[in-house]
Amino acid sequence: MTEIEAKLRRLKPEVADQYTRLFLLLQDVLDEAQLSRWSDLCWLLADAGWHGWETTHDYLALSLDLADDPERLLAIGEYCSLLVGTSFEPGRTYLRGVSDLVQARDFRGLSVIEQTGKIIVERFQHASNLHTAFLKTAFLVGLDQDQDLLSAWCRFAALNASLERAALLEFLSLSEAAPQQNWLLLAEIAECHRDNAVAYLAFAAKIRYAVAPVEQPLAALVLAYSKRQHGIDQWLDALGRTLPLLKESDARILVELTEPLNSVTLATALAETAIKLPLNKVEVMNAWLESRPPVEHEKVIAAYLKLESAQSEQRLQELMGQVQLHEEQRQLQLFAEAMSGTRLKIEAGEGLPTSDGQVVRLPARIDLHQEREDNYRWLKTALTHQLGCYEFGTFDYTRGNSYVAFDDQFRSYEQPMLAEALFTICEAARVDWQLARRYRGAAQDLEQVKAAAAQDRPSVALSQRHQLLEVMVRYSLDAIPSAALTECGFLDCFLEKHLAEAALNLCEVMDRLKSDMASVQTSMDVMASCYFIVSFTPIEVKPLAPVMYRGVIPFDDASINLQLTALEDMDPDFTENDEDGVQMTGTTDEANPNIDELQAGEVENPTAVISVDEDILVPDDLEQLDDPAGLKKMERLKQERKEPAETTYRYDEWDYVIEDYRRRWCTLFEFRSLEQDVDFVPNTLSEHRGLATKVRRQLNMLRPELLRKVKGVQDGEELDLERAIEAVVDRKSGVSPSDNIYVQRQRKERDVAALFLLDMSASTDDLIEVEPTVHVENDDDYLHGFASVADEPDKERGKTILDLEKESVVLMAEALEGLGDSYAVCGFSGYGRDRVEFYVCKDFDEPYNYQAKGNIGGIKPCRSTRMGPAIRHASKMLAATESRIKALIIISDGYPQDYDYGQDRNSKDYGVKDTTRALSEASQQGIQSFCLTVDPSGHDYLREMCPDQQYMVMQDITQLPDELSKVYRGLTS
Amino acid sequence: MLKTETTPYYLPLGDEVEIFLTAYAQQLPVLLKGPTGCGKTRFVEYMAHRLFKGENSDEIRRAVSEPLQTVACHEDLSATDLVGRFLLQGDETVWQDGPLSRSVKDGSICYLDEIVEARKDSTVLIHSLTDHRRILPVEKQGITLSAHPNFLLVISYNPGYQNVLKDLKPSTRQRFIAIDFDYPDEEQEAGVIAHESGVGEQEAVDLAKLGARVRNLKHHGFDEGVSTRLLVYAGQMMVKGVAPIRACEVAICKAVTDDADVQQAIGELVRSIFPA
Repeated sequence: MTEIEAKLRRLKPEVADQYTRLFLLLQDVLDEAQLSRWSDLCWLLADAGWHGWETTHDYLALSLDLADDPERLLAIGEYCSLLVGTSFEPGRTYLRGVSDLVQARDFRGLSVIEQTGKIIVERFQHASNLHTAFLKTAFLVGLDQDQDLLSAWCRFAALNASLERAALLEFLSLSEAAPQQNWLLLAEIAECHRDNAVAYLAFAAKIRYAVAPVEQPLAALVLAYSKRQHGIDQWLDALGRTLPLLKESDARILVELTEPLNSVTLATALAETAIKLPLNKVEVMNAWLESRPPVEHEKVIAAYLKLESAQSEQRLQELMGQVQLHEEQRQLQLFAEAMSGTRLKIEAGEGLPTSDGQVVRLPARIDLHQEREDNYRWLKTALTHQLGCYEFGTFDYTRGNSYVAFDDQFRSYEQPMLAEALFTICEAARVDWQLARRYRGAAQDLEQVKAAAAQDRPSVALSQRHQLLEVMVRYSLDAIPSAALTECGFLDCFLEKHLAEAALNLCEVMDRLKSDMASVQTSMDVMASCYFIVSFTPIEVKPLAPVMYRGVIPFDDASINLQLTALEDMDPDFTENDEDGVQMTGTTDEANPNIDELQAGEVENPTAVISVDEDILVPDDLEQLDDPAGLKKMERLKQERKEPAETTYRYDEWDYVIEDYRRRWCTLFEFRSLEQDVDFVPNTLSEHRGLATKVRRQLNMLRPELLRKVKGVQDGEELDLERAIEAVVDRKSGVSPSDNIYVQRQRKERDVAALFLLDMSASTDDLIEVEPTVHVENDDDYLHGFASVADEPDKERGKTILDLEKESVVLMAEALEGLGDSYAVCGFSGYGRDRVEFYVCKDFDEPYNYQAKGNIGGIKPCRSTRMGPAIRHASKMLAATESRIKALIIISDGYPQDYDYGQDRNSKDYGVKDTTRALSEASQQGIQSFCLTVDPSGHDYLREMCPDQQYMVMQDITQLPDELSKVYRGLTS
Repeated sequence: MLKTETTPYYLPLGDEVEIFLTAYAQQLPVLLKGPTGCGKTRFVEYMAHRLFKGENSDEIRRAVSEPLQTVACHEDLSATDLVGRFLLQGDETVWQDGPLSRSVKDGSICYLDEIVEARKDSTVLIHSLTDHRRILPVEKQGITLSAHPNFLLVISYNPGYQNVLKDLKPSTRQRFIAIDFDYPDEEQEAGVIAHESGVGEQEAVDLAKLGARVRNLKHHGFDEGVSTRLLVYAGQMMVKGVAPIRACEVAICKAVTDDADVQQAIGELVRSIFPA
């Protein structure tokens, strides 16, 4: 026994045995020196540390396989010995990797792995885990891959090795997760910008399948950016979110489009918006990109790419042929009113077109077709169809006293859902045919829309029931010439032969709906016949695909709402007075209760009613079961009418950075009822009696200047000298003189509308320091009034800025009532662009009554000061008055400010610039504006904001009431 | 001026013809109320023809050369314009009768269209003519004319569109038999349009349909909807070969309103009713 064997035996007998066996084997192959070295190595490895014998064990196993290549065997052993300094693990991993290579007899990659391994071992001497990780990953990468790739990877690894340990670990774990990469490229990238390479590696690993189709161009881009030392984290982040959602072709186009942008910021912007863009329409995309602003400033272009600027959105829409409902809303509203003669409102809604007797909801955006014209045609036809239901009496259907006539009728069938589905098809068909008959223009539109709808119909794998329903739908779309049925060729694609006769019957029955006299009752009758034909087919729970332009209509809801509207028109207090609700009575035959006709409370004795018919489909809303006549439903709808929804408005906002509007950026909520404070106005008036009189006097001075001279009238106070002379001349020359030789003072009417806009921001809650020094020059009650407040500082809390603003407005209002000018009082505040709050205390045509006074009193400090949308809304109100003189008076205490008023929260510029813009828009509409502020630094921004310097900074806020009336006089005479 | 040969076309909507004939027989003045372009003037022409040239005439009336004097009233219309004035003709001063005096003397119908527009001193004249005295004071001549038995005063008035200041005073209103006019219903209006413009039946029906729809928009800046007259104009354009949609655009959309949205809405209506 050799020495080594003995040592091994002490360590682990099995290993010793293994050693012995191999020793004998190798004796024949290795020469003396080699053998000796080999033995030494075996011991070296075993002795290295804890569990070293495991390494030896592996080496011995390897020796068996490598017996024929002694040099290599020894080299491997030498290398392994370098690894086992700290722990046996790296060695083992190494040997395992090698043994895999041995199987393949391909040692090409080994040297580069060893080289790189050496570097790592030297750099991180004791980090055995790191060594292990490296080796494991290295062999993994090398497995079945190209030699060059492995080298590239090793280069990459070496690069990471020159950094910190964490970096290397990160790299190794990413590599392990996805060993098959384009390492050549990655190494190249890494050489320019290591972080980018790692980021890209992580990105590619995470969404492999999404990246695969665009791998090459994408990597090329990454390389380009890396060469320019631009970080790509954000861009990859955005892509990571977007790419999985895109189709392959779209993804390719996205990358193609990104390339010419030459900037990571812009690439990121494009990636973020990608989902909203019609990537599949390449010409559209190219044209849209070409229209981007040709400026240096990247932020501007980024905003364009993110569809945040009005210009960008508009351009895209133009190119897309999209139709936005909100742009057509007013015309369509008027069109609807004219067509139907009712007050139906048009609103945007989710899903299919629908209407409920009060509102018609249409999709907010229509982009079904390429061309704008076609999209608009679809929209108009969808609307016309909805209106047609009203015109052609869809909702006239009644069934006894029930409020839910339709529901009741459907439930009288064994399969109510089928009945409903059939009726829907029949009625829609009838309405469309009536429309075509009555409106020749609409008929042409309908033809096209129907044809398009017919193209989109499903035709494969339909259940029997659906096949028959589909026949009906297509017939209603005029897509089935009846001859086709008898030949059955046309419908072969989806209609089973044995159903052909039923289909033919259905079409024949539906013909009745084409008649001029067809009414909703006809539809019900036709439905009954169709039911008879269709009901034998197996039940199908899934609904058939709807015809989109026809939408969905809740028949009973609409019917009830129409009835309520009619009742309201007759008696406006109807919805208030609940006692007018209708009483329902009914009798039931106890011996044979018909479940479908039972009404609540009718079954006297507890009777168990067992349903044996499994074909009754359970109604979707169980509400129906205990509300058979729809009484509850009617009450609910009645309730809903009493609560008008909050009206919201959307306004654009001007962004001076991109020099364009951000479309529909702000949402403004208009409130017409506030928490009332009924004491405020009387208190103010009693406190400032003197001041009130003064203000009123000042405004009354406006009156006498209202007469103007009109020349050349038939009677007046004075002679119009010119014309009088002409008359004499005429008379002398034998021509009949004119009678119009006088001058008259005619009463010119004041045609003024003024809106007072109060800033309700939180800062107005600050207290005013009351001036203690007061000089009594004359009997001016004004000063006395304030002096008395100063004397009692402890009595109340003291006045806030907002209090004083309110007081001034109250005094103005009182005086204006006497003058007869039309005026409104509003306040604004809010938080953020999605919640600008606008309070209307008193509108122009509302009287200055109890409620208005209470509203003004109830104004409280709120939050921020986003002036732009408030001014735009106020301008809209003023413009609607159509007065000759329109005045907007803004009372504020600071500059426009909101948490997202501009990207930079601390900068005032955005807000000031947007407000400036809003005021200039107002000015273009003929509205004169004036800003009154108590902010001592007001000059700084008001100079810029207000057109023609129409502003005033008040030194002493107690002057507010006085100044206000002066301003008013100035603006309105 | 009344064309004496042919009876003016007028489609009675109710019993207005009988009422007018009765009022005339009783020498009661008549007030025609209604929106513009719904047939008031045509009605008066028709009645004048019937009474003076047609089936209800008699010898005396047939002899009258001008059975109908129409005066379109405006802000500057004064009593002088209605009654008459002295004119200089060379060296002489000659009295010239106004339309009202002529009518009073001749015994014909005097029709004051849109009386509310006229100056107040002219409405005063009406008072004396419209009570049982039936006299017309001519201050400048210092005489008082007594109305011929065949004389009748007819005034018209459009209640919708003026503002409150220009309403008829109750003391004036209560001297007249009032006949209300309004646009005919679709069927009747189609007949009128067809007759007046010569356009085919289908087009006439469609024009009437359009009229009814546009009138649903009464509250949006044009208080009366579209008058029958405009629909007739559109028909006349169509007869001469203008495409229906274009004819309606020029005769109706652009004429009744300046609001771009309303114009477009009406345009959409037209496109729904008339095929391209």
